[in-house]
Amino acid sequence: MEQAHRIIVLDDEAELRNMLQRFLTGHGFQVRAVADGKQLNRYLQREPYDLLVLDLMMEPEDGLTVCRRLRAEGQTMPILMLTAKGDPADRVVGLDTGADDYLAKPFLPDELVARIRALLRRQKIAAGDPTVTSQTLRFGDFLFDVGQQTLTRGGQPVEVHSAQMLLLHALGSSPNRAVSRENLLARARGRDHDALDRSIDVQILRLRQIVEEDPSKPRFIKTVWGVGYMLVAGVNA
Amino acid sequence: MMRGLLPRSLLARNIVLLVILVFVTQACSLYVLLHYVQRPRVERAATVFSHYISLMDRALDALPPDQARAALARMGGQATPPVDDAPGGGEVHPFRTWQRDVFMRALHRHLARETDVRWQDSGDEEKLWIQVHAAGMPAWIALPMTADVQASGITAAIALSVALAVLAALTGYLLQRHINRPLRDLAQAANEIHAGEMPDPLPTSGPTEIAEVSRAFNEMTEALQQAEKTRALMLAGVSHDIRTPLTKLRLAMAMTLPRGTDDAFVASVEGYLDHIDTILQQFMDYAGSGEKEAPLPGDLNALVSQLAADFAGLGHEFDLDLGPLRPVMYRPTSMLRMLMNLMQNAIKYGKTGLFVRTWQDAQQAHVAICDRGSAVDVAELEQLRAPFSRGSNTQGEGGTGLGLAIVDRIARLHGGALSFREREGGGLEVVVSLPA
Repeated sequence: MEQAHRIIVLDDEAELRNMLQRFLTGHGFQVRAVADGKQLNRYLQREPYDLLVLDLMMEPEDGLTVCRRLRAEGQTMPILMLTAKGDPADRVVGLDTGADDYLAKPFLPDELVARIRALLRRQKIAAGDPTVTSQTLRFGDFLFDVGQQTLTRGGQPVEVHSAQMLLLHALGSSPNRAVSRENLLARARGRDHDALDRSIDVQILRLRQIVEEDPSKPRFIKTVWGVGYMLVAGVNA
Repeated sequence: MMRGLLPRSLLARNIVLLVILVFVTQACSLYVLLHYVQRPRVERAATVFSHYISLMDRALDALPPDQARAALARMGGQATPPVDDAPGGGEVHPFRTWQRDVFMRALHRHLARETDVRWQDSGDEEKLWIQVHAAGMPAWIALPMTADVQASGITAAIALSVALAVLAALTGYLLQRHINRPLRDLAQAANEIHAGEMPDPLPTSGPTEIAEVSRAFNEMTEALQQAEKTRALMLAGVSHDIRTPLTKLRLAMAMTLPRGTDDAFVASVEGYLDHIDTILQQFMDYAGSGEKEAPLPGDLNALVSQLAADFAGLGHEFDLDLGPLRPVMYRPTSMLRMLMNLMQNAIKYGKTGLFVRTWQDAQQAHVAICDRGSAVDVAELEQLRAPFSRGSNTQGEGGTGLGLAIVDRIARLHGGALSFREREGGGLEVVVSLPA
């Protein structure tokens, strides 16, 4: 069996730290939780970790400073930043200082796991690991096999039109990340497409009508306003 | 009364007051000069003159008749009184007349009763006729008045007054320039604050009175800035403090419920949590989270069509009529949020006839978000710009009452404006106008 991934969580709030530890352990990770930068340094020197979950707002040393320091020290492990600020400007700062991804509180726990898996997966692909294979996505009681391009609900196959499957595949190839409308259009229509083309959005609406309880308040196929769409799903490696 | 007569502008008021001051000063000086300097002089001259006349009169009277006649002839005298000309010929010289009157009155006072003097003004020449007695017989001698005596001081006085008045007007203008510039700067800075921006501190190097106003204004700006910071800090703090327990709530739910549970209960709880998060986001938006964002030149049409596509994906079709637009400077996230809010309102309250139109004129780019169903009247919408106010058609729905306040704030942050119009053929048209 594959060795469990080792994750280190840095958050100055004890309760949240412990909950994150329990939650991520429940998802099959090996988790160490630390309260400040000093402790983090001690553990990082002692043994290697695969990923760091870092809180942005902390006292006395905030997440940005920790992130900057780690990168300056040559640390290459993926860093996932957690923050309560919903400000787009903070996001840019977080990614500029060397964080690999960013999740705003109150995040969906499934999304946290999915993003951690995605970061680890990318790390593996970058390292040329050949064991990375196709993945299955879980949202609600749906399962989507990205490689096979099959959608099942409670074990029963769900009929999906080919144009919608194309979109679902595009969104499922990078789950929990915004996929731009241009990207989706280019996949569906090739290079020459009209900016006013609504066909993608009509297909998205049909897809939503299949998987969402209320298509006007989607939970899984979310709108990323002004950008495109995102499939929020749990990832089974 | 006085206030009603004065012009409205400070510049004109100052000039009028200064000119009036100059004229009053001139009038007073003239009065003092005439009555305390010129009159005594004239009277003294008249006294001396009357002595000479009495002496001459007595000398001529004492002469033998033929000698007296010869002397009279040498002096150009005559036995008959001079012919009185019609008075008022020629120009009127008030100053000269006044001087002459004073002189003649003084002369009459000092001369003996039987000695008479008369002033003859024959237009181009003035003569003073004196009645003397030559050897007991009355006779008249004429003394031509020199130009010197006739010279008028009034022309010089008027010229001086006019010159001083011009000088006063000029002074008023210069004074005003010193006041006007700082006042204009002050007005502009106040307008910037109104537009939701923070102006640079005003210079306090000018005259003390203006420097004091500038300093007070700067202090007020600073206090506003401070209040702004405190508010942003507080709202960010509140938001942080609430978001952390929300995160814990979600984690606790995820750990308690068995994996894959997805029933109506979970969905509704997630819905509530989303709603709380949306409200927090609105508070953050109202606290001005968008101000940190830097404005960039962008294509509003592209943004509008992106949003229309996003809404199409949710099952709401907007018709578009996009005119050519120059690039507009805007903060991408704020602008997105503003147009999104307005389009959401159109869907929520208008429901049908969803339509977005863009066009431009010489200064501005306009985006109109239209619907056919909104039953709210324009006056009520104007009131909804105020934060925490809610329309009459939103009863029973959850909301912060910040939607239009945020939109209005974002529009002002971009130096633009938000206006509401009744759409032709029914419904509502909300127009965002931005400098382009």
